Amino acid sequence: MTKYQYAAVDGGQIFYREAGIKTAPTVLLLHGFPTSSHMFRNLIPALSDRYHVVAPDLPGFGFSDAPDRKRFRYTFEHLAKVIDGFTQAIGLDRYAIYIFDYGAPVGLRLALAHPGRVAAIISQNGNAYEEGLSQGWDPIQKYWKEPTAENRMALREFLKPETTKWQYLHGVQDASLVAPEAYELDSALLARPENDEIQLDLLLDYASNVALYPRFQEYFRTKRPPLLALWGKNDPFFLPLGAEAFKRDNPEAEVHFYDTGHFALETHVQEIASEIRDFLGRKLIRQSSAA
Amino acid sequence: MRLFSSPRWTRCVQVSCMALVSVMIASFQLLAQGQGKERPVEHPTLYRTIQIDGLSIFYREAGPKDAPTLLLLHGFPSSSRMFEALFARLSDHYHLVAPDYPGFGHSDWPDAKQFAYTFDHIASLMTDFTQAMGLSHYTLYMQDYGGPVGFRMILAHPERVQALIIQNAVAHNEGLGPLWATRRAFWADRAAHEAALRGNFLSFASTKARHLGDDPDVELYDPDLWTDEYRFLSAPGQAQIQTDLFYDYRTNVEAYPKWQAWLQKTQPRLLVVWGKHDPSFDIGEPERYRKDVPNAQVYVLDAGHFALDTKADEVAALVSELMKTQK
Repeated sequence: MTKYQYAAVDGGQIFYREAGIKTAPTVLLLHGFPTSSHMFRNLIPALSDRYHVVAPDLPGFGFSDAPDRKRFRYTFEHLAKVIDGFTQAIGLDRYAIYIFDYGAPVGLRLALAHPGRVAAIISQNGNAYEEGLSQGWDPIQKYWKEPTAENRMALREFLKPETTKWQYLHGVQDASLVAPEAYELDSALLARPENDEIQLDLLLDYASNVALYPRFQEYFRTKRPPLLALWGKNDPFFLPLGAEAFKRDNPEAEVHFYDTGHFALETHVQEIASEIRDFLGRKLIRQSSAA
Repeated sequence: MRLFSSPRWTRCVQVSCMALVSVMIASFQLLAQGQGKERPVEHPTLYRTIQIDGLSIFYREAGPKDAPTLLLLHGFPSSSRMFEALFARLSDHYHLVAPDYPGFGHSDWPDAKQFAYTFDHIASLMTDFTQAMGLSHYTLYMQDYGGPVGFRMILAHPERVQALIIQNAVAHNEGLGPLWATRRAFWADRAAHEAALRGNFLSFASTKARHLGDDPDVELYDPDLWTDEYRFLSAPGQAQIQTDLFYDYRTNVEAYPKWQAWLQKTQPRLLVVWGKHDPSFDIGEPERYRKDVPNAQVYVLDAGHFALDTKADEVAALVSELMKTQK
């Protein structure tokens, strides 16, 4: 049964969903923009009979605190630091990470900081290669190059309810499979006062993730963490090339594509859960017997 | 593990009842887990709309169409979303259909000036919905507003109803607890009490409290539940729609004797599932149904007004047991 809880981290509250037995191997689920741990609502029960599943909301997202921008720097480095503090607050010392969208730069920073803690990586449309970035990033990259008020204003398109709905439906073969509450909830939380500015700050800082891609790739090459890429192939932001690229640095990386969009869990949760169970079953057992 | 708490006066021998339900849940969970790796879910939930009387009606549907149908009628201020957990547990075995009423969830919300928000009107639209969907026989699951909508549908077409599940929905005057004093005042004099009612009825605090009640297990509740509902309630037009409909709730109280008479005369197959932490409905209500229908199965759960929020496994097992014997 899923529990809905809060952990105190650096003086703020981090909301998280937790299910499964605490002594089982932990899977840490890291969500993307503009959603929250709600995106894992159907994956959690599909894994929790065998794994300890933990899904926090990033600061500024979901039900975690969204501190004022004057007091809290909304950068990926800072988000990663808070999530690192969160894992320590609830006593996680080793975990597999499921990284999606914003979850990738957060989770991979955790891996760089503590390579020994990350037992395996499941990247679902969680990008770490420049060739994975689509033209959808053009207006954001323009803002990186020229951080003007005008270029910032242009990115407000990404915060509109219709854009959020589009992100869920684009590339989905059968729109009737997508539960409307997913994008409704995201839009409800995006509409909170000041949340727009928080999100624009993070879009600006996303440049720091691209700058780190070479270091993420070096980590894949040298540490060889077991890696499973599960990719909605019609994602308008992260191209299938970004999934294939994992094999370049780790030939053992396993890559699977689904005929769906960015939020692949909305349409393919059973297929994705099956792959994860199979992958972790092989990789975590092999690791522990080798140790 | 304390899954169920039965009131003292329950006729079912508590221990054997609990044992039965525990076995049901255990086998049910095994069934669910057995689906583990190899096969994808056979019957995903579909989110669809259909035109009924010129309105777009949103509904969730899952399961084999030739299996017995479970028609799920939601409460205030929710939508078919409240049944998500039941869909995840039952749709491999039954045909589940859950519409959003007009003015709720993702169905159309016609302006209150153009559309009469009454329970009669909603029930008649929902009857048209079942016809358009080709549902000739079904088991009804009624929660909160689902009760007054469902009882009207039953009285219009009693031949369609194979069994009833009543979950925190009232059909006896005494079932409306002390919180209803201010609501009854609103029915008696709308103009004098409307402002006070709106302030309380539509607030974020009430929306949250409706789920939690006095349930000590707050960590079992997903905050998205009331966030989603409050987003709908705060949208333009909603205050008028919900106030109009709630003013009409008085017609339900007037109709209770008719519904009771139907229950007493027909003696339908009846499952009553009751979350005991409900802040607004009286805990004696489940036993009143048993008085009307002595063979009713009555279960009082350690859950809230929206019992599926925290006790979906238990409710799914009870519903499944009732549906299993459906012809």
